[in-house]
Amino acid sequence: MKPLYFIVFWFYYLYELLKSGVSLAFTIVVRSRRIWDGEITYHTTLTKPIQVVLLFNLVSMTPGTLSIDIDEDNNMLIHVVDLAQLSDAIASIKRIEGFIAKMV
Amino acid sequence: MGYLIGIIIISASLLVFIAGIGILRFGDLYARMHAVTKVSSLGMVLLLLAVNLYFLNWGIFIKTVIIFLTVVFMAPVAAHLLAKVWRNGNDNGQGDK
Amino acid sequence: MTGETFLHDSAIVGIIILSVSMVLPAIRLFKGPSLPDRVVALDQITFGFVAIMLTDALLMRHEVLLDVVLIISFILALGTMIISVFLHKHLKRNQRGGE
Repeated sequence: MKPLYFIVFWFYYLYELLKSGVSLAFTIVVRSRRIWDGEITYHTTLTKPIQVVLLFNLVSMTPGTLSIDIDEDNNMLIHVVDLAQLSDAIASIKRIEGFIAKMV
Repeated sequence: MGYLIGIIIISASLLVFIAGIGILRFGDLYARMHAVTKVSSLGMVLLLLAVNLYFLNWGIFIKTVIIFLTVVFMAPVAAHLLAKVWRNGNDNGQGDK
Repeated sequence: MTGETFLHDSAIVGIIILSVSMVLPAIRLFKGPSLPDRVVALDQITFGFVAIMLTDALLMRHEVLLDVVLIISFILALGTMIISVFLHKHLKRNQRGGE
């Protein structure tokens, strides 16, 4: 547990929350009738249970992703609301994963 | 300071309104959960920020931090549980059996 | 127009917008095709309710309403979890009865 990373992580998390809310509000207003949604599976490389739980909760707040299910081999089932921005969402999940691996 | 708090309040209420539109217009259950979990949480966080900027008090700051943690950590857990139960029940109902 | 009056007017406008916004999930609550749709719509209605309470705490300087908001946000999440447990039991019983 490193306190400095903890503080920086909360500010980054607030920024991510702001970005995801604004982008989803834009999606709702502009083109909510013709979204293209789907489900992906994502394998995390984190090992400790507290890291996996933290990542699984925080994935729900990154832009356009909602975590649905997880099995014993750390394969998460993630629902993505806009598959056109899939690479952006995966990059953001990877960034949060790096933060969590350094923090806890 | 009053102008800033007023603008924050109006944008937060507009965000909650947009989340309501999203619930009405999306055609899928998971997409509606996206709207509730993200947009409403962002509106709530903005309103908590406005309350903090208005009162400027340590006791109220601690109370709003507890509300923030509740909203941010328990709303995704609830949405995940509902989505998982609905998905598993539907799969087992229509699937191999 | 000074800052205080702008704050007062914008709080009243925000309460009006939030009151109108609680109608939209109510429509989804009445015509939702399945039970989780109704649960999600009820969540959204409660979010609007809590937002009105926060704005009222700011408008009338009622600091006591923050405690009420804390309790309601706990009950909101716990209620969704309890309903999903009930839905789990219901789906399992239906599946067993259908065979």
